[in-house]
This record gives sequence, C-alpha cells and structure tokens, in this order.
Amino acid sequence: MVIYISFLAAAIGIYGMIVCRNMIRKVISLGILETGTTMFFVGVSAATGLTAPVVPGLDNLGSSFADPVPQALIITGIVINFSILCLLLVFTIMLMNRYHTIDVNTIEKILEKEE
Amino acid sequence: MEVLLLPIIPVTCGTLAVLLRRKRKLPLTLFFISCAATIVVILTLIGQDKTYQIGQWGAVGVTVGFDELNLPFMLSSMIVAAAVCLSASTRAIYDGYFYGLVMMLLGGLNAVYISRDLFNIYVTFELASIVVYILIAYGKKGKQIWAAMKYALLSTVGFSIFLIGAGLAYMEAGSFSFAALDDVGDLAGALIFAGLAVKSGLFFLSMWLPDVYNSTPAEIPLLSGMVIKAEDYLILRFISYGSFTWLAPMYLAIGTISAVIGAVYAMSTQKSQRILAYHTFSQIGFIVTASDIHGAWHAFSHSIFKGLLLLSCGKVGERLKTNDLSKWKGNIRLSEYIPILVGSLAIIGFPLTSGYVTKGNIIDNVPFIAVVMLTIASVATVISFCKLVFIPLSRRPLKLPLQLIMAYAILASGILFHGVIKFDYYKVPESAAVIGAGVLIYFLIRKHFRPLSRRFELLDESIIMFMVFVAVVLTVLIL
Amino acid sequence: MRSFLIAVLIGYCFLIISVGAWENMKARDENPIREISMRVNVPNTVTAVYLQVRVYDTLFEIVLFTLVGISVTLMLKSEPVHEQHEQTIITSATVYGSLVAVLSVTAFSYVVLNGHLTPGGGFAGGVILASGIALYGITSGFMRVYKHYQWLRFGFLEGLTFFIIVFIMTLGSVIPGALEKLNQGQVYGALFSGGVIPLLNILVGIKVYAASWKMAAEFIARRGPL
Repeated sequence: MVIYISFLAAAIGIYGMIVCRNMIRKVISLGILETGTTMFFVGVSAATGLTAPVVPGLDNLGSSFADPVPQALIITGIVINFSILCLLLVFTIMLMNRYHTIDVNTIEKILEKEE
Repeated sequence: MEVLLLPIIPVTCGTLAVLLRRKRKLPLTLFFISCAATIVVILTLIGQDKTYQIGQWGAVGVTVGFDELNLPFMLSSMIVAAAVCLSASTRAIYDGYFYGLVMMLLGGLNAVYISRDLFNIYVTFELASIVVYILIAYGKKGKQIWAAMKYALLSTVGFSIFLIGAGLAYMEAGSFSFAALDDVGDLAGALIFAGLAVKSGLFFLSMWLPDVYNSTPAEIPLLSGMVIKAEDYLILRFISYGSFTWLAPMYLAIGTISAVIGAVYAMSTQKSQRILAYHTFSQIGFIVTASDIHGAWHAFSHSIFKGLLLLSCGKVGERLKTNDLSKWKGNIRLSEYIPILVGSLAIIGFPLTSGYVTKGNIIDNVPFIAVVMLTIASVATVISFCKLVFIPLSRRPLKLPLQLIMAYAILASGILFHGVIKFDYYKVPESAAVIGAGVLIYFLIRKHFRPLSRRFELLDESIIMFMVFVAVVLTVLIL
Repeated sequence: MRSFLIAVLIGYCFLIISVGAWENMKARDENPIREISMRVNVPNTVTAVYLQVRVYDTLFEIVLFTLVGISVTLMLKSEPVHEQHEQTIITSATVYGSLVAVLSVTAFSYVVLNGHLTPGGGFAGGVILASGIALYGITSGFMRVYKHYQWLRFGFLEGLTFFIIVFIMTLGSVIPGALEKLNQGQVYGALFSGGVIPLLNILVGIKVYAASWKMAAEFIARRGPL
C-alpha cells in the first residue's frame, strides 16, 4: 500500500515539475518526487515485517522486524535531496536577483534574446 | 583494499583544499600530489581483476572492484583534470575553492568507477554531479546559473527514477550489489537504465548539454564531460548483467539515432561550442552502439580530443568575445589554430590519431545496419568540422602562456601516442573515402546551412521527452 | 489539452511500474537484522548500518553535505542582503521561542546521545537543533543568534568536527575489522557501547546543526520582498 501511494506521490511530483511555470513550485514538486522515493524505500523495508528495527535483546530475536538496510540508506538519500533542494533554491535566488522574475518561460525568452 | 585509495585520496585532498581555500599555492600542490598518488595506485592495479568487500558483510555491505573496463575512464578523467588545472592556473578568478572542487569531482568519479553497488553509485554520483552544478554556476552569470539549474532539475528527476529501480532490485534480491542484478526482473533494469540515460549525453535525453557548453568559460565543459563519461561507463557496465541483456537492441537503436541526429544538428549550426556539444551527442551514440571494451576506449579517446577542442575553441571564443564562426574568419592566430586542427583531425578519424583507431574498432564490431548509420554520422562529422579546419587565419603571431601550452601538449600527446601505437593499415582506404566524401559535400552545400529548431532544449520539453523515453522503454518491456 | 496528455503519459509510466512492483512483491524471509545486531552489538540497527556497515556511503554523504554548506555561503556572498536589522519582535513570542530553543537543545542531547539505543542519531538531532534555533531567531531577533554563533566559534568547530568525522569514517572503511573488535568488547545496550558509533553521532549532530543552520540563516537574510 505504501508503495502505491509513493508511486502516486512521485507521479504528482513529475507532473508538477512539467506543468508549473513558477520556479519555486518546480522545486517544491521536485521535493514531492523525492518524498515519493523516500516513502518507496520505507515500503521496501516493510517487506520483512512491521516492527521498528530496534532489537531489545539478543536472545529474543523475533522474525517480524522491518529490514534496517533500506531505512538506513534512505537517511543518506534524504540528506542528499535536502542538499540538492538547498542548491536549487540558491540558484533561484540568484536568478531572481538577475532577471526579477521566477517564471521559467520568461527567463528562457530573455536568454534567447541575449544570444 | 588499495582500490579504496583511489577515491579517498582525492576527496580528502579536495576537502582540505576547500577548507584552506584562502592560500594561493597550496591547493594546486595538493592537486598534483593527489594526481600523482592516484596514478601510482592505478599503475599497481593495471591488468588485475579484483573485487574487495568492505567488512565482509555479504549481501548487505558495499563491494568495490577494479577491472579492465575501468582503466580507460580513470585515465581519461585524470588527464583531462590535469589539463584543466594547468589551464586554470593562468587565471586569477580560480582560487583554491576551484581546485578543491576539481579534486572532489575526481574522487567522486573514481568512486563511481570502482563501485559495485547500486546505492553507493547513487551517493557518489550525486557528489560528482553537485560539484559540476557548482562549477557551472561558478561565474555567477545569469545564463550559467540557468544552465546549472536546468541540469540539476533534469538529472534529479532521472536519479529519482534510478532510485525506484534500485529499490525494486532490493525488493527482489535483498541486495544492492551488482552481482544481484543477474537475479532481478527486467523492470528494475529498465528503470535503472532510463534513470541513468538523462546524464548520458544522448540526443533527446541530455538536452541541457548545449546550454552548458555555450555559456561557461573554457575550462568548465571539460569537467562536465567527465561526468557524462561516468554515466556511459555505467551503461556499458550494466549490459553484461542478466536483467539488462534484453536492452541490447535498444542500445543499438538509440545509439545510432543519437549519432546521426547529433551530427546533423552540428552540421547546421554556426556556433563553435554548440557544434562541439552536438558532436558529443554523436560520439556518445558511437560509444553506446558499441557498448563493449571498444566503446570504453572510444570514450577515452573522445574525452581527450573533445577536451582539446573545447579548451582551444573556448579560449579563442573568450579572446574574440563571440562563439560565432563567421566572426572568427581572419582573426584566428596560428598558435591557436594548431590545437584545433589536431583535435578536428582526431574527431573525423584521420589516420595516426586516436579517433581513427577507436572508431575503426567500433565499426568492425557492430551489426551491418549500425555500420551504415555510423558511416553516415562520420561523413556528417567531417562536413561540420570542415567549418573549423578551413577557417582563414590571421598572420599576426600570438604568444600563449606556458601553462596553456603544457595543457594543450598533454592532450595532444595523448591523441597522437594512442593513435601511433595502435595504428593499423587496413582501415586507411575507408577513412580516406569518408573524409573525401565529407570534404566534397562540404564545398557543395556550405552556403545552405540553416540553424535547426532548438525547441527540444527548453526545460519543460526536455522533461517531457525524458518521460516519453521512460514510457517507450517500459512499453518495449511489456511487449 | 497539453497538460492532460502529460498526465496520461506519466500515469501510463507509473501504472506499468505499479503492476511490475505488484508482481515482484512478496514477503521476504531472510532479514539481515540478526547478523547486524550480533556483529555490531548495538540495539538500533538502523544507526548500525548507517555508521558501521555502510560507512563508506556515509563518508561521501558527509563530504557532499559539507560541500553544499560551504558553497551556499560562498555563492550567496555577492547577493544583496535585505533589511536584516529591521525585525518586529513581540515579547510573548520571544518567551515561547526561548522555550522551544531550550526544548530543542534537550531533544538534541537525548537523540544524539541515545542514537545507538533508541530511534534517532546524529542527523535527526542536528536538524532538530537547527530548526529550534531558527525558530528562536525568528521570534527574538537574528542578531542575537548570530552573536551566539560567533561566540561559540561554530565556523571553526564545523571544520574540525568534519575532519575528525572523515578520519574515523576512512578508518571504518579501510580497516573495518579493527572497529568491529572494539564493538564486541562492550556491553549490549549500555550508554557507552557500540565502539565509535556514539562519538560519530555527536560529531555528525554538531556538524549537521552548524551547516544547516548556516544555510537557513543565509536564506533568511536574503528572503527578498516576502
């Protein structure tokens, strides 16, 4: 179930990235897409069980723990996505200061005229 | 274990240089130290085929390795980075921060090359590409920032698709390592291939590339070219695994189409950096069509001769303040023309250059229909590079800085050395026929070149095109 | 019309992916959690994977995060700063802001120190602290927070912690066996257990706090006409 919702979120994110003309909205859509992939990994880790992978003692290891590896790796993924969003926002601020607009089509027209 | 030193030495030196960026000489020294150390490690590893598992964690841990497919890519990125740093040391705007970024790029790419793990590839590749985004926006001009933004948005979408594919592979096999790719279904392979294709430099998919080449100073496109080669390395690496073998006809189709259309676009444009960008599409098409060890060596020779061309044309463009070839006529000095000539001869496959050797090897090893398409692409390449080769020169001399001459010498000696030691006679007639036909057609139609539509290069259109590509790959999968 | 076609295209792609995922989805039996908790010897296996089993990934992640932190500062240096000193401060909001700051410091200490025993860890702790301090800055004036930042020399501290982290993580990926021996000698579930994991948690927490707060402050200082 989580997996399908995550696919839905990813689809909404890509749709928003194509349709929105505002640059901030594009960046937010990218955030939605990345949240979708994060949720997908959470769903992958639930394939072995639903208990949080914190083992209370070594002697009573049940079998229904969630898989810790995708969860741990997606922490790395979250950090990377956070860094990329920061960088994109910096680019947006710099473009805003140069062209006084955050509309993608306007910027592309201005650049075409410059050439 | 010594394999791990390949990424760790440059990354550590790079972070040191970024933190101590105010010192003037130290970062450059650190760069050459890390280059020398990495080359020593590579020399001890040549000819071996080894894998090393960090911590003996089985399917969960990270595996690294080194084999013959890595060698051309690692060597080419090292040579190109050395040339870039030599050329950059003549300018004041590049401080320690720049050299630190270049070292990190080198380390991140080496980590991609030695990695045998899907998630590790994601992390290291994002490191390398973030360095490249920052480098593209280094000059802080509006169009550079826009090029970086476009590149970042597109490639992040691609990597999200890649991550979904990697997650599917983990869901089936319980491991992220490449060895598990033999056991997983075709869907994971399709998503991984499609996600990687955004940065691979194929036409219709990597349309951010002409903007990047056209807007940045001469040194930066060489570095972004290194990242493209890493992506192609992954495409070549994956074809040998079980869940990717069904993609082999797809590689052939997309490679030949990219080779021809890229060359046609290059034929029609008049801007030097745009010609080179469209030729990158074309040459990457050659590499993907071959997708074996010959393709890997063509990637080696391509990154070196394209590096020479980008550097020399970029320097001319900066001196004349325009990339328009019609304004270059009569303004190019002899010392600038020689590197352009050597690079152009290599890219059109003139005998005794590296392009001749590797192109010949590729054409020997592909099916007949691909041979026809690639020959058409070669003729179109000759036509478009005639524009650069037959350009009128200016008689006045120009003295270049010593570091720049050294950079040119490194790249040119790479081309000629590779071309001379692997030289083979039996391809000479074919190469002469292609070059002759190209020159002839150029003089017939040179008055009729008109720029083609650049609609594909808009941001929205390129994301749509990428999604169409994903849909096509998935449709081929279910049929 | 165009947006409808785009929606159909994306829907088609994700429909095929969903169907393919449905075919592959099955409950897996083999779970690596047993081997991980035995060999690393800490209860929170997520932290164990993050900081010991796949420390080679985390090394590059930390390098990337630091690089972005430095680059955001350097790239925004030349951009104009908008009215930093004019800030409306409401007294009751200041009180609540200080409360949140104190709570976030407490939560940071707990999450970071117990990162190997309960859910949590360095990255989560750093982000908690950074958001708490940013809230404090919004309510009671950024100049005060800047002064604290400079008084505690976080710029220098960040570089230092970063070097120690890279050093330990390089050791962890080059000689993983030695660090594992360190883990085995300690009591399972104690506060001082897990070898270098608690130390790495603290260092990563400080590092993430410093870098993300610096980035947030740069963004707030250039918030523009909002």
